[in-house]
Amino acid sequence: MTAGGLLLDVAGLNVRLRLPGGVLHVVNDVDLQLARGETLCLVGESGCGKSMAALSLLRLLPRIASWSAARMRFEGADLAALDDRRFAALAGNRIAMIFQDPMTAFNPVVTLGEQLFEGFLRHRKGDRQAARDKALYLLDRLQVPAAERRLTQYPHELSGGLRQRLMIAMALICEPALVVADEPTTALDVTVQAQTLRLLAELQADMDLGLILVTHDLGIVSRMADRVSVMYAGQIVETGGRRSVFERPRHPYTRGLIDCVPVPGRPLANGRLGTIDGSVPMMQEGLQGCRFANRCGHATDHCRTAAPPVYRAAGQAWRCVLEAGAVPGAVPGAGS
Amino acid sequence: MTRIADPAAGTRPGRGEASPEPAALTPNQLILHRAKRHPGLQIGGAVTLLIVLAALLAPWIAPHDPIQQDLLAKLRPPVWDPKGGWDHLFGTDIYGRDFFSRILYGARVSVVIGFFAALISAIVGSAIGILGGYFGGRVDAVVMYLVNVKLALPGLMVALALVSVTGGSILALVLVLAFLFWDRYAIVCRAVTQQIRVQDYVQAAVATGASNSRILLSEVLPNLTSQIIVLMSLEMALAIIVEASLSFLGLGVQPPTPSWGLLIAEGRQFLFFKPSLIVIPGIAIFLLVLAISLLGDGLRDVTATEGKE
Amino acid sequence: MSRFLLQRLCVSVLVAITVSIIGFALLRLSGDLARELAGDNATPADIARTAALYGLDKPVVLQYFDWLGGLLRGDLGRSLFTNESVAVLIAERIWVTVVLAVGALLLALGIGIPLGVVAAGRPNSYVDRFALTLAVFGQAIPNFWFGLIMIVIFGVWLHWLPISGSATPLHFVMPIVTLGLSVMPQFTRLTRSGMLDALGSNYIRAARSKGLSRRRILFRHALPNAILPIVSLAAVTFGFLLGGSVIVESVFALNGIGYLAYTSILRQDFPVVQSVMVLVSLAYILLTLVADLINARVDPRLRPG
Repeated sequence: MTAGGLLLDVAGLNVRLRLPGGVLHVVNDVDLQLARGETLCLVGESGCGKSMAALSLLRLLPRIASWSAARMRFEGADLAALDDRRFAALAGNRIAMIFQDPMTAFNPVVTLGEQLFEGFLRHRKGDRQAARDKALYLLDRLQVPAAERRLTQYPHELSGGLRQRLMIAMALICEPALVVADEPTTALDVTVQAQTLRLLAELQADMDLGLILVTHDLGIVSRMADRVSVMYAGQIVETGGRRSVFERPRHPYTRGLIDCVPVPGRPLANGRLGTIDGSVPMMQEGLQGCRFANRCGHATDHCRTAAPPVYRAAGQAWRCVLEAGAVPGAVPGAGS
Repeated sequence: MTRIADPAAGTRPGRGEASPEPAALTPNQLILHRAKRHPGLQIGGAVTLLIVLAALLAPWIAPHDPIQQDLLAKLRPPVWDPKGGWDHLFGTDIYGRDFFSRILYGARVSVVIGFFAALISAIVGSAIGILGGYFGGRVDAVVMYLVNVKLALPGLMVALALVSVTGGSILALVLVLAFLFWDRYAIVCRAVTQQIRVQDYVQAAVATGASNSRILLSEVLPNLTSQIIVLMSLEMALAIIVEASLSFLGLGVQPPTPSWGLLIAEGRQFLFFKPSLIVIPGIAIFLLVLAISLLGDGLRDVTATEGKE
Repeated sequence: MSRFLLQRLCVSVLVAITVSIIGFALLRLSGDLARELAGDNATPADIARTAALYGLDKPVVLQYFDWLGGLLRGDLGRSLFTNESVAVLIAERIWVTVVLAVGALLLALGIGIPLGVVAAGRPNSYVDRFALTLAVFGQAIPNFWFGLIMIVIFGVWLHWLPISGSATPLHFVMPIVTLGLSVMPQFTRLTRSGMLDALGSNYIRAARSKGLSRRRILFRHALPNAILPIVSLAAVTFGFLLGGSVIVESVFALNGIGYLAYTSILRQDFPVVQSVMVLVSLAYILLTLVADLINARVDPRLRPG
């Protein structure tokens, strides 16, 4: 992880939701760091806060949400300090988002072409022809058949897989530096998922894009990630390079996740797939202790009362006391 | 009974977790919680209650007999006029009848007619809509045909014609008004019932052999009740205005029974030099209809199930 | 789409026939129409003569088909009281009602839609509360009363506008305002809720993620989606205005078909009432078909292909 010259440097991100029954703390002290050309996978189960964290980067949180961050720098400049107008100049331009459901993310009564072009026309102030050329180039790279015709069609006329590819084109049309993809293939058929991800990875390499990929699917993580951040109950419980996290997971939750997924060729411990008992705690304010304690087989009383610090060693960070002693050079510090 | 779109659907805590769950309120708690914060609902409910009470207690609180004429006391001004007096709060009309009492009794007419018209049209309309939405096929085709015929008819004209042939009895008026409004319930209930019918738990009930009437009563109806109640309050407000309009045209409540619409018609000739005779009943209609509308809107806001959170 | 349209057409014809039967039967429900028309002091002989005069002695079904046949030929019969051709009576008066309806609808759309858009753009702001308050008040005020108040204020005290008749365009100002303000609230609410729905949708979120301007998001993305149900409502409201203008016409002494129907009902002038009712219903049926056609053109999801 290079120090200076980070594309995205977020520390201490918090998101709270004001609900009728109280305040939910859905994103808790989250750090996200990304260099150009790198892919960071944000992985966790449903409801862990990963989508909220992603949306907060583009200021797309719902009205009931409020957010804050100790540090939020993009290309060296303070992102949080920008007013809405100046942020809008970045959105779609230097930072873009790919959404989960391509059917509802497109306006049903506007042509796909117009929806693809409008970002370009707004940010580049170029002419329609330039926008069209760019769009057709991207569609070609994304292997969309009959690309010219697609531009005059409406969203409901395309299949899900094609729509998602058009959404990718729409996000990339201004050649952003950072792309945030929120479960981009979850709504697609399994057969189409792999192809779509491959095309996305190719374009990322071409454009040297930083990609934050939010997903719940470890298989996608193993294919796409350079680095992985595992989220649980609003917090990041483990971060590290893909290899390290998969081969030497430090946090019991990460270990549990990996055990849950069958891997061809890897024999199962005890001859069965792992499960994690219990369920995710409610994320209200003022929770004591480690959030994973009620489901962790290694939890002690100390775990239930004192929130564990974040340990770092050799490019990996984790929020658990379990292996603190065993790992050489492990140092506790604040923040994930 | 299974509820649709439980707004408080959240995860439950695991073991060893501190107890309060700020976001997990039961549906009824949620409704109460919202109701406490909804000024429209509270104001509307309070004013409606006040007027309904005044209407019900009219025989006891009215200072005079509303149809008692006193030709020596014609067209007395209301109490806020220098020539007015406290014995006739709102003054008197052309026949010397106490206006305040007539307004109070007019409230009875509006409330009773409005309520029963809304109730009857709710029962009939919902039943038709539910049957069409549940059974589909030919039954639904008939239901849609009936609804389309009703929609095509010019409501006010039909109402006028019906009243003219049935006479101006209160019962006839209630039935005519009920006929004017049943289609709204039918449309809403049909749509919701169609949605419910395809839910998994209903399919499961059918598969295990539950009878149609059981499914209708235990699954379909409870999900509709709050919407029907909301509709009822909004339609009641409308019914009151239509009754006033019909009475104004002379084809509603017949004199000497005081209806606010009738009072306005009677006061029309004195529009220029004694406007209080039409201003007061108009304000009365406005206040009652406003209060019921606020109540209905408030109920709708408070019982709306979250689709999007 | 044409199959759907054919279906709609068939249903519409069926509905039209049913409506004609209802319109025909309405005034005959009182039992003996001939006795009503003959008056209170009529002897049985008078009643029989009345019945023969108006064709009421023939079997009901025959009367219906006679009238229907005439309708299809353009012969709507004659008024029982003025003996004028019903068709002429209607033709003379329909323009008043149409002007009233068109004016009221334009007013309602012209104020209601912008108000709804602005209110949705700033939910819970003062503008929003004002728009909603106006909508709730507008629906609570009885329009005949509002008309009378307007007459007092603008006609009598201020002498700005004429208070009855239909001689000049100025005569239509107060009636149109009265009628328009009474139907405006629905459009305000529908626009507002449609816009709020649209603005809460995923495609609006995607549009914001592209950094588009507020104005573009509101007018190019949200409004076209919100406007679709408004087209249907406008058509339905126009049909409603054609039939529901009775009250405003009587308050302002306008000689439209609403007032014609009203006076005819009072006098049991059944040829007039039948024809007016059927005419208004047909207009409504036609308008809803037109609304469907417009929707099919405007909403790409409903087009074939």
